[in-house]
Amino acid sequence: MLTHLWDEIGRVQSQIDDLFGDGASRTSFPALNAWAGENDLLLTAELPGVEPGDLDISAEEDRFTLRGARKSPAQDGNEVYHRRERGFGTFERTVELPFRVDADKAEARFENGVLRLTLPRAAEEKPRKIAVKAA
Amino acid sequence: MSETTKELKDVQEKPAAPEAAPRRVFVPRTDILETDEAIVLTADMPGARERDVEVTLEGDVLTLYGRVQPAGAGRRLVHAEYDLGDYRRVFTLREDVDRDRIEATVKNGVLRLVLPKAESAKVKRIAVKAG
Repeated sequence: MLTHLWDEIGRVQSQIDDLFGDGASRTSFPALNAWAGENDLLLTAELPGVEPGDLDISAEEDRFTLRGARKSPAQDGNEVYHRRERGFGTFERTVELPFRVDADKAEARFENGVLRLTLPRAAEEKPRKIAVKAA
Repeated sequence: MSETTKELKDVQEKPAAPEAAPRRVFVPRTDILETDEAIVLTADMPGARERDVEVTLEGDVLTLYGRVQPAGAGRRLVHAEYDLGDYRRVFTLREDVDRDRIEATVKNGVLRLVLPKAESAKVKRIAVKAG
């Protein structure tokens, strides 16, 4: 019953996307991929042209928030744009995680415009191997 | 008997190399701006390093190609909002470009290409004097 209530609150907050829900299907930036490992969750996002210093990542037990900005290049007077396809500006996205994580041990790497965030599973969320004893 | 031999022969001659698998190719978002001195292209190719990017100019056809490494080894993909693949885009240049001074740099997954205009193509501003 409590879990259900929590989901309702999640839907009201417009910025929270449920990672596994098919609810929020509007396009959010950045696009995220999630890879589940035995010990952790790896989230990747494509953020070309963003400086690592302009990224702000915070993680809690059951969600993480990604904030940042891609700055547009300085312009002088004599430039004429023939094409402008790349977007600029600030972005913010909060995502609920499929299982609880140990936020203190989170690691973020940013290489070649790709963010890789590794979130170790909380101890109680690790799959436990159950020994089979002979009768 | 002879039929079996033929089948085996076919199997051996097919390449098993991973390069034979088709790779997805995306069109990278690109900004193009022009100054008096040069044409500057900026293309988003997240995941591509300097050594993964190839720029070729044949005649007036400019081709950009960026290769991306596959990701996520050892884990199960549970949620995908974007696909991985290489980047390719072809442009036709309308300006004369000084081929020897083309500069290409890759930083944070963005390719920046500076194509200096050939002398004849440069905009020359003419001062207007009072008669």
